[in-house]
Amino acid sequence: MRSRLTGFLLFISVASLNAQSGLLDSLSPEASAAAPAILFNGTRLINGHSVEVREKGILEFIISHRFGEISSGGYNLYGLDESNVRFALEYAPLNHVYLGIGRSSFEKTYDGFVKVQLMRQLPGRSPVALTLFASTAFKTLREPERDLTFSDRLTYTSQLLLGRKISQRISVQFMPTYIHFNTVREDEVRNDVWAFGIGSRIRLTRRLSLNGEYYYQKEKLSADYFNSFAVGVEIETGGHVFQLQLTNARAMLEKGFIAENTSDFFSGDIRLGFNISRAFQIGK
Amino acid sequence: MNRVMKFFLTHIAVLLSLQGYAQRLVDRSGTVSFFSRAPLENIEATNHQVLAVIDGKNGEVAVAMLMRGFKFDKSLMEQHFNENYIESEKYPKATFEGKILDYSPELLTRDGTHLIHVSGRLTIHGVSQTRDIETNLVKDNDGIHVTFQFPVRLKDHEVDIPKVVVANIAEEVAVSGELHFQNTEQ
Repeated sequence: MRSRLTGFLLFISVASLNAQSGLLDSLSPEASAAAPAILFNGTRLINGHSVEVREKGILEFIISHRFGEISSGGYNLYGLDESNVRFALEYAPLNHVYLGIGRSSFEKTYDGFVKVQLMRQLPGRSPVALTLFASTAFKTLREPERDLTFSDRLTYTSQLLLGRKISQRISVQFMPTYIHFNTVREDEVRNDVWAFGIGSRIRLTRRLSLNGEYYYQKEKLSADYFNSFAVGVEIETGGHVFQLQLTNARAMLEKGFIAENTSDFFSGDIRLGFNISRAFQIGK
Repeated sequence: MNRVMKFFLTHIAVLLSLQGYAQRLVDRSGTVSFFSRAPLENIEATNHQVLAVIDGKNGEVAVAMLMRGFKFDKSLMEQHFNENYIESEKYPKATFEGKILDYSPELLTRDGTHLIHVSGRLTIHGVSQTRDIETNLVKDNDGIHVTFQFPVRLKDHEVDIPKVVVANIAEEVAVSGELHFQNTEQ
């Protein structure tokens, strides 16, 4: 009994001596909960939204531009003569909520949206990032031959944005979408469009990425319309994100580029476009 | 004194003497900040969860901190710091391992103020550099207080600054810190 006690006491004293080696090893900073994955650089993939929202207090200004179709020939300077613009001001009042208002030159349409991030991708918590998006568009283009009421001019879009960062360099996203047009044009045969979008981002360097986006419509508004396809590069520098893309879509609004495309990407009706976004921290 | 008492007393004496050898000073909430001054923008961040330990026996020193522990006023700046510059996913920690030069245990046991030199390896962004850091050490009734300030050249640790933001980020940042050690700990 006595020898066992002695042995035990000697053991713990020796053990404490050994614990002194590897001073740095003894310091293990509490592993901070792994940070949620960042799938995309900004809130837009190319034409459409990405799963990302901004952190609370951030105000973002976005200018989007689309030229005309390259297929319109030399007389039109391959589309550079035509210009479509959208300005937007977006703000994050809370960490997972993002609001925005914008105005597009195409059909002089105003839009407002709400984006709520439900889940971020975090190992152990969620394998995907999930964000809900809802937008209302109000077309103010004068069409005197049609007697349009306020409500006639409205179009509603809702999207489920589901994304996953599948590796250090690659993120993918799925965008099931539902759009409802209160009123449609003469040659359009329905008011509702269901679409499914897919998009991806491939990180080439720390600041340069290659993005792709495609929206497939289950049933189009008109047989003459096309699905939107876009491919572009993205450069992130400090508070700016620059995106340069080639796309067939003229509009920069969901209901426009998803459901009202009259350009066929694969026939050369391709437009050069860019998005520039600048984020400011104005709240805490 | 009976045999049992003698037995325990000798063992306790042994343990207590070993306590002397096992003297280690630990700070679990040290502060380290860095400041970058550039024409367009000043960047500043602070980490309040720095771990530091001094081995009282030989003056060996180790400091470790998580890069994600550096907090910025602007959340977007913090995000870029971690994602694009420091690459915290790949290199989560910054560490310093070294030794107090001309060390004597009295530095830590006798009240006083000293300017000491600590020499060792500073590892940031996965790249180590040998540094000799001038440090102010004060021992008083509250414990041992260490303050330091030294420059870090971003290039030395392979932190790239793209030309586009050269006017926003300085090539050399000023690092400063404060550590407080409360007496002995195993």
